[in-house]
Amino acid sequence: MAQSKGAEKKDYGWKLQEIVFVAMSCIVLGVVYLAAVYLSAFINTAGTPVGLGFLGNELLFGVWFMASTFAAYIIQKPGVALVSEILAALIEVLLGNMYGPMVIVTGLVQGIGSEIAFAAFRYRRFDWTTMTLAAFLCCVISFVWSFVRSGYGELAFGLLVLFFVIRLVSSVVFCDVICKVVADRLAGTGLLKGYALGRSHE
Amino acid sequence: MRSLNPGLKLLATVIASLMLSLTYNVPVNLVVAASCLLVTLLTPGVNRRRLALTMVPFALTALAFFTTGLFFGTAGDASGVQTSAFGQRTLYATDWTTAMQLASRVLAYGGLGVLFAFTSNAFELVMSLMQQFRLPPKFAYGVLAAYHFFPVVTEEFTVVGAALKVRGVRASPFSTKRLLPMLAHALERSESLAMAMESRGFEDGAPRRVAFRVPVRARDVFFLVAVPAAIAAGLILLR
Repeated sequence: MAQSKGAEKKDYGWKLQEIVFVAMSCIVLGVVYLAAVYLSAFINTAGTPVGLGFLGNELLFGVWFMASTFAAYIIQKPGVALVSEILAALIEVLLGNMYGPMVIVTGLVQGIGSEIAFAAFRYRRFDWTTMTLAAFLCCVISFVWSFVRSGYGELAFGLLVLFFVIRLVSSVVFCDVICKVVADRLAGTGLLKGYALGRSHE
Repeated sequence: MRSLNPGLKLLATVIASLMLSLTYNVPVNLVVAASCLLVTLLTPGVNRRRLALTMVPFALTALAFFTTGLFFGTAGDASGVQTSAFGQRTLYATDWTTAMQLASRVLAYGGLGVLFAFTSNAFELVMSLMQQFRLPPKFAYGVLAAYHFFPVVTEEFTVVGAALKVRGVRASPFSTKRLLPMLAHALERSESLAMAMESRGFEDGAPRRVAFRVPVRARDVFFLVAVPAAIAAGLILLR
């Protein structure tokens, strides 16, 4: 079905296999995230008495965008970053995320961030530049969203700068460096032959 | 609560959360949090122990927000008080208003989230999204298929960790050493899943019939209208 006329015309639709793969990577990343949340809980609890209890959250914030950049880097089609972030949020809701349905709105907002980065290069470049830009834009847009959602506008400016820097670092580490390294290694194993990234590695 | 249409319930809670996120009304936040918890508790078949356990991280997050707002808020009447790095003020000028606003909001989100999570079923939610919100079947069934692998992936996480440990490798949760085998398995699994679905006649765009219908009834629409209306009324009346 998907192979019928995909030879010269670039196929922008989603194949079932890609959807299942994105959903499955969301589950994997979700499980890993849950394990990491326990680590960040220590930081949160330790920081609470001095008013810095939110640091742990900020440290792991980049993990929320991982699904989006990871999928976009592998599948390399327009819309992948946005849709996979929404799928990731939907899966979070299905798994009973404690923040509930609001996660879907957050997913939408963050997906737009990384989508803009790949769209800026007309979906032709998927390398360190676009990945870093995607991580950066995710961070910026999600930070703006935090003003609405978590009331960051009420906090002191110096603290916001600290939060922003931590979130930027986390975002670059998780959805730029870790995603790209893992995806490249995955392509190196030859498992990704059916995807754009695997083809470019041959 | 359990029999409400999950898609519309989702929409109602999203609208409610958005309304709360655009306002800073402490009493409304607290009332929303309390009434959501009460409704969840009164719903038959809710696991109360699990509910209590879920509330622990919420209480911690709310507390974290509370102290953050208390020490680093901007809305306090602290003119003329010297501020150190990060704008930290002395305890006399701490910002109770901001603290309450931030913390009560976390609790309200928590209440709404818990209300949804404890009274909804994942399968019915996806079916409802497909039938009422035009989620393409390809995505609906693809996501459901992957969703059912959650327990397998959780187990895999420990297995991969143990395998690394046997070889004397210490790996943090986000180490590429741990992620790579897990994602490779995810890739293989998703390939065979997709193939299995297609070989059993799953085709996108083909006319479908659904065996499991999620109806929209009058009370679903009532819930969708009543919850935002109640919050709007609260925002106007409770100041």
